[in-house]
Amino acid sequence: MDVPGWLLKDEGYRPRADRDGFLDRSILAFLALLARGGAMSGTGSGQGARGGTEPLLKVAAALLLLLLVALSRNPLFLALVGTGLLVLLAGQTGRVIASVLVAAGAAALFTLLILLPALAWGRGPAALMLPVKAGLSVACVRLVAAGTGPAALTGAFKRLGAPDLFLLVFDLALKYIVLLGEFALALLYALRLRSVGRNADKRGALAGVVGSLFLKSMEMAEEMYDGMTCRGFTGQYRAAGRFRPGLRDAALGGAMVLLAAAFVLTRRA
Amino acid sequence: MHIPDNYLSPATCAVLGAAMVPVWSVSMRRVQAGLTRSGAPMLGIGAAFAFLVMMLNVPVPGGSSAHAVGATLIAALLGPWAACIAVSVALLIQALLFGDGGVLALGANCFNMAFVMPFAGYFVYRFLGERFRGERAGLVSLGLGAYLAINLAAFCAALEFGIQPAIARDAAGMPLYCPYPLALAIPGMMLPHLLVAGFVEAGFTVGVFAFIRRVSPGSIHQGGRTRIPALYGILAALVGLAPLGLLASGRAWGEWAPREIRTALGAGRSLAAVPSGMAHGFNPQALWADYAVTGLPGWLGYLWSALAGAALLLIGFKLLGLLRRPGAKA
Repeated sequence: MDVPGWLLKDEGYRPRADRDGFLDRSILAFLALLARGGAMSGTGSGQGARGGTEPLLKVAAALLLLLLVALSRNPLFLALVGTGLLVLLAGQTGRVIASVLVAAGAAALFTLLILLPALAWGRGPAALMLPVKAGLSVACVRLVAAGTGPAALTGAFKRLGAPDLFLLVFDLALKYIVLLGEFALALLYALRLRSVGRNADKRGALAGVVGSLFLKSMEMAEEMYDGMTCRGFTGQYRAAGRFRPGLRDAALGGAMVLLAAAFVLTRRA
Repeated sequence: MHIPDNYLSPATCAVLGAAMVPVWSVSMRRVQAGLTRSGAPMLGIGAAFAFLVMMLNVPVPGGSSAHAVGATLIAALLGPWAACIAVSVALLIQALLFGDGGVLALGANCFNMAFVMPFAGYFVYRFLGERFRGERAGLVSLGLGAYLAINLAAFCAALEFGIQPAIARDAAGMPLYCPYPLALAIPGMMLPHLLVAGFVEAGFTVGVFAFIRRVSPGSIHQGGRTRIPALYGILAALVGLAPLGLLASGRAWGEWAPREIRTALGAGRSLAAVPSGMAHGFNPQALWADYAVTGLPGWLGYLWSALAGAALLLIGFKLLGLLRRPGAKA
């Protein structure tokens, strides 16, 4: 059989390099999000099976700590809070410790960079406390997020008296961030794979990715509504179980009182 | 634009959080009243969509990339009230689970990105869209709305940062939170948004909206006629905020008058001479120089100037609408 001459020619096709940075960064961001997918869409930890601390109390303690850190002007109080957070962090798994430390360090470093001109301008020690406060605040929020599942957070909001429509929206958003995120990742991969050589309309294709994501979300909302109707869910939430304070809750309550006392004492000093 | 904790004083966070309570309450009521068949799940999934949109990297000229906010896009797709709830929930999840944006500063972030941005973008889009008919005019209106909205939100964030040195100081007079006054915070926030982020946001919003309108036009929120009183309300609120300009000490960067430029370097340093082009150039005298009116207190002069400026803008838009549609009521 004769092979046609054109088929034997070396094409010598070398696709021209293109700027794909924004696509790669988006893909990495979505991968990082989906890596936390189980924690986002699962029931997570809360009071009950593992005898954890009451989520409402945890959220309240975190809010108090954030407020006192923001109000504090005393480095001694900040050092006290930092030590307390380190003790709490020591009880976590290595993965949680690493994620909390990296997030807190990044927040502190970013704040320091923002404040460099102010420091050079002679705004001294008061401005220097801000990076420390930013790091402590992020560490606190990350620590609470690591130990409190989304279902527990929804329960805490319910006990705080949040309206049911808000709870429904919050709950669905958490679950669908993962589902829609997987869909978006598949679309981004498709765009990446089909962009051989220089793709002049990559920006337009990105609009297609987001547009398709929106249309998919509409479709999912219809399906969700049908599913809700079939299972008789009317959109009303009931908090499962009552709050029965345990040893951990008492310890956290005591720590909150001590924290407030330390704030008052260091403020006077 | 996500403000972290400790950049704003707790008092500022409390005021903005309190300002958001009625907005959330009215949004909830408006959304519940107009819920369609899949409305409630749509809100939740819309919040997930808002969250993911804020994670996407959009290419920026020069090879870099930036995050879009997408609040105007979501307002155009779902309506402004639903967008307010969806973006607020997305910001809450970012703050609580990802440490992106402060927990105490959640009210401030929601004020800027879930209230100012979707409502301003949506109203500009509808206001211009109703006066300039046609598919292309609609997209231009949306792009302009997105550009103005992100800049207005950035301006609000700049105001929030910039008033901190004036309202929260320690005994030595040093600022306790964001140390940059209005004269630095406003150009620092506005220049990147006016020059880059605004165009990125507008291009992203128009591109996605045009795609959805082409593929599935029935999925887009069909709003009623723009309620002009609401637009006037926003304008009135902005006019009322104008005297905040008095809090700024000194000149904004680059706005020096010829007589001020010699000492603009600060720290006791001064230029050897005023550039001759500035010293002998054309120096028009404004009707209200420095927004001041002789014989009136400063804040009243600011209010007066803002009122006149807003009225002139409205008149300009109405006259433009008249040119576009001869015989129509503007």
